[in-house]
Amino acid sequence: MTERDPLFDGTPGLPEVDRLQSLLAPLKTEVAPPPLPSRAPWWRRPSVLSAAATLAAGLVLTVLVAGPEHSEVGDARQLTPPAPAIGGAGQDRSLERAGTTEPADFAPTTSRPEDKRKPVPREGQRGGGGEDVAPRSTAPPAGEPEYMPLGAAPVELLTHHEGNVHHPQMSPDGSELVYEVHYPAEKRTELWLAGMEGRALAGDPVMLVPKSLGDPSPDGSGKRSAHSFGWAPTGSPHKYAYTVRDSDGSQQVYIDEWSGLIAEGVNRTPTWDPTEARFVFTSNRTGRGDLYLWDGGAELQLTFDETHAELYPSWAPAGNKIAFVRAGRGQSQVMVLDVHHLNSVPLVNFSGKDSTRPSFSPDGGRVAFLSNKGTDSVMRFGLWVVEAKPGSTARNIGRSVRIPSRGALSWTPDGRGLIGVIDAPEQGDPIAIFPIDGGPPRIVSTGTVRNRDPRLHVVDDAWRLLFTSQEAVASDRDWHRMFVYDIPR
Amino acid sequence: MAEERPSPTRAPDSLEFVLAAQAGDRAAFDALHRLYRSMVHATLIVRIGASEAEDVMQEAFVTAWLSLPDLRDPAAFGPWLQSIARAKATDRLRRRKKTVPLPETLSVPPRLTLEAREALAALARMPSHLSEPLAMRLLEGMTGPEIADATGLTHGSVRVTLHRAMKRLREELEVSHD
Repeated sequence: MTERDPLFDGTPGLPEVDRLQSLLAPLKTEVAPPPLPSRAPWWRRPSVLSAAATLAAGLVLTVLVAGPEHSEVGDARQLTPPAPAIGGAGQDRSLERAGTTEPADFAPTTSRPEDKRKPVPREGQRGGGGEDVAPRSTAPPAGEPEYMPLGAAPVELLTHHEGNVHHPQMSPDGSELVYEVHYPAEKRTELWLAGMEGRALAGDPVMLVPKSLGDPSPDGSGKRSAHSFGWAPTGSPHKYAYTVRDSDGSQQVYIDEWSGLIAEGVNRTPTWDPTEARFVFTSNRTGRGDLYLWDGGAELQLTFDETHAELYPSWAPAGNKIAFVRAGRGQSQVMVLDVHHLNSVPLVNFSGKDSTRPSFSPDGGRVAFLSNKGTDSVMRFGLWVVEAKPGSTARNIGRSVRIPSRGALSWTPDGRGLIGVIDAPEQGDPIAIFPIDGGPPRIVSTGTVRNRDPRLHVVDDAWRLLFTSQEAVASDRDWHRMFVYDIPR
Repeated sequence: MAEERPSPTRAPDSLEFVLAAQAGDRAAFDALHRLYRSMVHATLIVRIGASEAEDVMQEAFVTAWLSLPDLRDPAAFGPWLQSIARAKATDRLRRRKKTVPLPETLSVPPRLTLEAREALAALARMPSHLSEPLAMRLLEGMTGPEIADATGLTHGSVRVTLHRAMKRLREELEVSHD
């Protein structure tokens, strides 16, 4: 057994060290992240493009004022056409729609007072990214948050782990629960599975360990983390899938009741089709990260993009479409992939901004996502909703929402709202339901603070909320624990 | 007891964040900033002092953000980031030599006690391979395993270094009291 070493372990016990630590504590940094510049090459940055476009427009104007320039070739007199303005309204944007170029919406034309770089849309014209054509509401939701009536007190699901509990997910039939436990000192994550009876755990949780993998070696070289769990739909021959990461950085996807592993490259985020025994996952095996489909053994590449990474897939309820994020070159946009035809189109393209964590509404008609468009910091994200067809208008329905540790925000079962955590540490980061009509958020009165990862499940007609929280008397030294709460309706 | 636990503020999986940030996910980089800012801040404070450490830290993170797509081994993010921070500190010191140096008193925040200032000055006099891990431990409250994870050093190496550094700090403090 190793001897106790407070200097190394970080525990109290050495008066000299404790005293120095308290003396120097005021120097500890809590500074927020810096504003991040665009990674686009200088010649593709908005300011440069804008200047180039202005110059081009000036040349066009000069030519038009001076009249067409004549040139003679032999006896024929030809008209030299003026150079087209970069990103002008008449420019062919089919490439942009196909996702093969940088968005070229830095034209010098002025139409909207809030963004002078956007081209003037012609009447009836439709573009690839909805926001390029349709005017959209960027106004934040009106009104102060409302508090929902108090329900029965939240019940803590006691687990006794000496680590942070994250991302609890109930099985589709509500009889089981899986959660992550993160051990900060060891930088390791475990997955645990427990039975559920009503609002309590049934029996002792068991750790999920892939049977096909051997035990880690005693020297720690085989240290593994299991994470990114996904429940398979009811009726599937498989129960779930999850990611296992070895200390060498490789990540395999383990599938319950399947002898193989998805092992080529770094693989993660198995996300099951809600209608079939198949899932989509991300892998870097051919470059910067693409989406793949696992279909009972075969692995089919869904996206082919060497310049961007495809991340955060989310299935439509009918299993025919996948919303995902196309990230890179200083921005992230929400795309939709048709699973049958394997073509993807941009759904939301906020140029130079990040849009992330999409999720389909229960009827498949809308997609919710988080974006830093219109916020005061690139690190602050608002909640947006858009019709699930290209060219639609995205609406901002939440001001400042925390990004979940995994996955996207949950829709309410009636499709009228989304449940998330308001990014407001001074108010305890409350859980709230954001109505999609843009009304004020309704705070779920859980009485807990530092809430994270709320996920809504319908169990026996109840809206059962699973989430994690630190103590009501918040302390940095308390673990995140797991709670269940029935939302009064 | 709650006090005996290591800091639970670390996020579940920094490698995931590195991969996502490489692809352009700024939210993932935000998470990396929270995970690694203590390590970077401690690395800088022993080299350039407290007053400029946070500014230079932000510069280091911006450089890391811009260069991240070129990082070949995402698992080596911590040591790579630390090397950027060290280079930034060297640049700052070089620039300082070309300008009028600040009075010593200005490089330490006034909220510190005299004893704390002496400890900080003693840390600054020590070799950086000793002072950096000790600053992470004493200033930022990181545990040994957290220091090892952030810097890429082994647990054994961090353990030995912390004890050597503590011994050296005692000697430096005794000298300053003589």
